Amino acid sequence: MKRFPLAAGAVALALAAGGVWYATRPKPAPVVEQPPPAETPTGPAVFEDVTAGSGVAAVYRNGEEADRFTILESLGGGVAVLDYDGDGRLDLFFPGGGSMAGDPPQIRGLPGKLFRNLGDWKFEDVTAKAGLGGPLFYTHGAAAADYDRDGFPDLLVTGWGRTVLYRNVPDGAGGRRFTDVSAKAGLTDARWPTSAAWGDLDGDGFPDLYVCHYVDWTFANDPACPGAARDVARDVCPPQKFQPLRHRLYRNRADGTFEDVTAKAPLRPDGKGLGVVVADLNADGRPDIYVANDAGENFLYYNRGDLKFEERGRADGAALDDIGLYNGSMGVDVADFDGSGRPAVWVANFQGEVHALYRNIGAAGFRHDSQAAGVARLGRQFVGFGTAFVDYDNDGWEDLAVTNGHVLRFPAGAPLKQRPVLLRNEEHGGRRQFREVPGLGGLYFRGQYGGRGLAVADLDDDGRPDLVVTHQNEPAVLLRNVAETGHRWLGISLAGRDKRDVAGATVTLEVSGRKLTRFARGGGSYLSTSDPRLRFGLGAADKVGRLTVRWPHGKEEVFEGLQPGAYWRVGEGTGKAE
Amino acid sequence: MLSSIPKPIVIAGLLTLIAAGVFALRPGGPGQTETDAAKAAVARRDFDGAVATLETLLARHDTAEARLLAAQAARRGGRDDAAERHLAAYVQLGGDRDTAELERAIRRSQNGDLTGAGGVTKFAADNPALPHATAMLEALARGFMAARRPREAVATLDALLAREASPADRAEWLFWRGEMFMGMARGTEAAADLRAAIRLRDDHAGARLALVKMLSRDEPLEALPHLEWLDAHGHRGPAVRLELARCHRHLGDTAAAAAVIADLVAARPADPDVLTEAGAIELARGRPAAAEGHLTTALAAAPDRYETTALMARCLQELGRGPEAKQMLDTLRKIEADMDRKTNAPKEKP
Repeated sequence: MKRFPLAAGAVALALAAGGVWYATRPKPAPVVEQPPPAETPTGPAVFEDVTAGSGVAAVYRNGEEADRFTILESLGGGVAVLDYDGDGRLDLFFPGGGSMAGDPPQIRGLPGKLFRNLGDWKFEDVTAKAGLGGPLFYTHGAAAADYDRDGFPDLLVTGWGRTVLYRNVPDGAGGRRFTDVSAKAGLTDARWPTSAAWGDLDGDGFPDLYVCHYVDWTFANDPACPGAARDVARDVCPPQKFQPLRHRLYRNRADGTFEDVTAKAPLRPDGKGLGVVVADLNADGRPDIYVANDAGENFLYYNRGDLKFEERGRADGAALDDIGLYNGSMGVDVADFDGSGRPAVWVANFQGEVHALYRNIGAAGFRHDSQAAGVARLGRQFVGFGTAFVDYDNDGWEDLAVTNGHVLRFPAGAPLKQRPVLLRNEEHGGRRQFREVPGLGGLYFRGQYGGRGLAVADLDDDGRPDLVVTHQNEPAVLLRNVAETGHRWLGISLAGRDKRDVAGATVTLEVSGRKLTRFARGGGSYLSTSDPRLRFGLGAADKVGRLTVRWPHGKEEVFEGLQPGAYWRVGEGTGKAE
Repeated sequence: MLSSIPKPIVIAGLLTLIAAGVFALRPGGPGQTETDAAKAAVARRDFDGAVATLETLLARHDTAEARLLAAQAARRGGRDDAAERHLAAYVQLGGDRDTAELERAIRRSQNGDLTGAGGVTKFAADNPALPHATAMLEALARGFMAARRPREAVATLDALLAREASPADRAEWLFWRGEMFMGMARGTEAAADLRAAIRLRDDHAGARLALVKMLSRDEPLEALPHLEWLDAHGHRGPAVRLELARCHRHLGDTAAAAAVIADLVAARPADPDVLTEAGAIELARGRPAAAEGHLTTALAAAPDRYETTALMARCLQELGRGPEAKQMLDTLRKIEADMDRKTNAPKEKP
């Protein structure tokens, strides 16, 4: 029995020696997996994807299946929201894109689609009936406006090598249809137009037209470019490989034709234009023009009257980013996000850049404010396209929506398909800041897409702004706003005297001691046209004060007696809201 | 006599003797513990620790094998004198002269003598299993880095990273390649390498600092935890504080940014990097007049800095001093043109 402690001790010490040995052996360093940083998801979903069963089936095709890696296929297509038949419901037009085939390759167009809103989130494909089956060309953008002031919105469709103006005319059976009047109107540009914006720039009531152009790509000027990653032999070329095409400004002669006033304006000869918005940016009553350019500085054209413009992007702090670099800019919008009563400019940018929020600081111009406004928290992985200010929760503060997706087939450091972003306008540290609220947008905002066009529209007239988003080679989606905030709202439909165009109007509503300012715009977002009506989220307020409209090129007019919960038609010179 | 000692003490003494015997008779003998510890330190890239451990062993039991290990560890730790001393002793103790010469060649290569670079690369490619090949490639990569030849450094590090190695070695090589990518303005690849290095070695302060230099502007939400880690682990130098201020600014927390930069400006009142960031923070706070002071001092110290000039142009524009802002924008264009000229100038062969 006495041997047992000895043996046991020997074993124990042998184990201890083994332990020393084990403890001193070479050890691998621990591998620590760190989750990617994310902000906390909160709140119920705001948007519900109601595309299925709606009757809307629109897929933009960019022709990438031909594996030509052209810059043409990177742009994608937008969407136009317009009440084409005057029934009071907003309809939808989607450009169709195109394809590339053959040797030598031929660029072919695919038809767009027009969907008539039947109400209750049901739509009917009326493309053929409405005369939009052709002409076929590789399309991108759709800009709607009543260019002939007959009370019905017309449609400008842009694409590679062609601009088509569709005039909205009676169909002879009590309905409406479109007829191609491009040649008669003098819109015969055969280069590469992208986004376009309508606006009465000379004060004659008829909307003039700004058309962005991109670059001088053709199959005859189609270099092979290596990919961004080291192991990718070929990818889509960057815009720096091409020369810019001069943008175009057309004066509406009021007789159904247009005069090219590009040189007289004068527009700059450069700029690879992808986004444009018309609004009164310096509060002088005249609609101005802001242009988002890819791989170059953005343009800020102040309207000096008589179709003369002064470009002051750099001088007024709205052309470059916070450290003086130009960005690759795509989508654009303007709004009063900070309660200043002045329109800030918002620009969606390329990967490696921060989306730009140019705060309007009055006479001194603009301040690149993306950092102070919290936008830079998003990081720089996104390639932003369609974008718009949208007060989705009707709290009276303009929020932001951005659809994203890469232009490269094999991007490095960012995914090809990207999630869209919904940014809420909140107060932090005594200033307005935008914060992403993951999960808030709903299931759609958790997915990844090749996002391109985006339009804001109250498609069911319930006062809650809905979204329409287009993608590369995937179906467009209708996102119904289902936010149950209990917030009140008030909608405004501006009616210019004798159907004058209203882009450039500034509308201010007094609510509970606050002044909410909204801006009537031409163009905006990316290759898209949004609902022309203006919405005021009222928060908990159940009544509103007076509404002041500063009409473009005109006077201020005050309207009283408006009640929340409805769209009001506000007629220029009538003093009445109906 | 033994009987006078209490039995428990005798038993304990015997057990201790047995344990000592077990420990001494384990494979490898008495020097093996230090050798293994030194190898473990090398695997952790604790080269100073490895040399110290080996020198403890050498004081007791001098062998050629331990000398070679010490020479290699000292060389990898950048201590050339110690490396040569141990290598000379290695030869004196009968070590292989060819091995010693190879080690000297590796040291020369590590210090930027790249005359045999092509041969080393080929040797490593032809002998993927040889441990020497890894040592040679690592030294070559460091040589290319020292010689400011980032393309070749990246190619060599690619070859290194394709080989078996300890996590610490892999982390270090990823860190080096990340730094090379940063220098080549290939930020995406740089960030990927630096993130991977930190995943392998959580305590790699150098990789964290390099990463935050990229992320504090580009991905501030990701940068902040790294900055907090650096702060918690005592890395509170000006570079870290500057990135912290920048990170706060990009997160929209301008008050926190201002607090950090105020201390830095007080400590480094003539540093153009600090003053430029101070100016940017004041602009973000909507205080262009305060920004102007910082930017003026920064431009006096470094007149042709693009970012500072751009910020000054913005500052003057916001102050309503259009002609001065235009002048600054003109300067910016000149800097741009100069940069373009340099970028597009025909490159000389290295």
